[in-house]
Amino acid sequence: MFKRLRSLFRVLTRRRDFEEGMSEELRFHIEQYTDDLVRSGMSREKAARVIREELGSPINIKADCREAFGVHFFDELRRQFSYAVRLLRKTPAFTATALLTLAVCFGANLTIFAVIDSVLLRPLPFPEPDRLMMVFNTYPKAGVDRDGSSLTNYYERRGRIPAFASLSICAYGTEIVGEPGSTERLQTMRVSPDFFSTLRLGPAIGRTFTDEETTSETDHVAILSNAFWRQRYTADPNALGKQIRVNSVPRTVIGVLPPSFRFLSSDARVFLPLASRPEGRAPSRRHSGGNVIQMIARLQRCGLPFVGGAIARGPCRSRASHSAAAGSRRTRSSFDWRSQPREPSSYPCRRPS
Amino acid sequence: MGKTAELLPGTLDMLILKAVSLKPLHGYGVLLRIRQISRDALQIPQGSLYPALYRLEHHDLIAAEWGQSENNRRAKYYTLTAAGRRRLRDETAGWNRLATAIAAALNTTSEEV
Repeated sequence: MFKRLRSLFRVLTRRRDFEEGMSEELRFHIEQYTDDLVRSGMSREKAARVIREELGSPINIKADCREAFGVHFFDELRRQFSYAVRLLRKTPAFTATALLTLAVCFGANLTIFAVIDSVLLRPLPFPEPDRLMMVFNTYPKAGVDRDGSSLTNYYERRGRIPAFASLSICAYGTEIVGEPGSTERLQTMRVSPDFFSTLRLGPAIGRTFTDEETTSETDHVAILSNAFWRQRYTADPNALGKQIRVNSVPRTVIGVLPPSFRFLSSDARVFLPLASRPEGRAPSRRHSGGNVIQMIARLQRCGLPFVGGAIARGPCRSRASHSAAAGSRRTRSSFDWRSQPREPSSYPCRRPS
Repeated sequence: MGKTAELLPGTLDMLILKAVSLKPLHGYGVLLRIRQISRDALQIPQGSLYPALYRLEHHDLIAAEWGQSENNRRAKYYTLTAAGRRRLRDETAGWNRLATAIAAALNTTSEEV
């Protein structure tokens, strides 16, 4: 099979040689045969007639030879192709419409697949990704199914929900990064200190944030994405400890993430502590502030494999529905919707009705 | 010239392989050689000779190379490849089995039944 493909390829790439060789071979045959017939006493005219009778038309023979090599298939393809091109040229409006339709379809399919691939098909690039959950607040009476969390939610729930091995928050943003004169606007992410330990993937060099670095006075630290570290510091390990200006405030680089770190679709280059003042964490702020914070949790190992809503019926249930907040709010596990195995599933915290 | 026989389908390839196995030949030489070794008893359809040569070459059973003919003309010479030699051996054995069986069947007399 391989040899046949190679011989076909050789013929297709040296098509002229093939055709000329074929003509020359047939010419040689006819001349030799004529000579032999003439030598045996036949007139040239008679010999030519005899040969035509015996050999048939050289055009047919050549066509058969091309077929023997599989070349005819490509000739036919080329003929059909040029015919199609001529037809399309005759109807430019139709051609343009068809091409445009195809282009739009390809584009749309590609986009949809890219999204589905990154969100659904590819597992999250963290250890035990099926235990990672996204926690939402839901406000059924306001018709809000999934909402972000507040700082207060985080500080109230942290360490209080036994179903969660760890709980963390993050907020997307963009900041001006760089020295005056050479700044750029970059995507950033403000995260709680336990964000990386919840994902179980922390800096490749350096350290993560500490609880002490979550106040506005002490948050002058930054962790860089691997790509940003390569681009800005040419992958210099001595970048640790250097100063980087974020919104004109100097911060110390304390860590660099591994290349594999990718949190959902975020393209954050710089990670900062999600700092706040004590009044921002007060119970009165529990549901104010727009709930722009995402809450990420890692489930406790319950002894039961977690599949979809199984946890709601598993031993975690009683602990999960333990009153989380000191106030009137309770977390209730309701897993009856949205728990794709590879996407962070939802863990809605509902207000009791 | 005695009586000639039409070629059975599929036997032309076998005869070409045999002719080429004796000595490298150009297309016209193959025709002459088959006539010679069959003692002019086989009618070679000349129109199918070249397509058959090309098919065998494409299947790597014979190899082609340009050379000089006896009268100093450029001609394409065919030689048998290793795969062609194997094929010729197999086909010869198969043909002999078939021919023996058919001859035996046709020679059966009423006493032997």
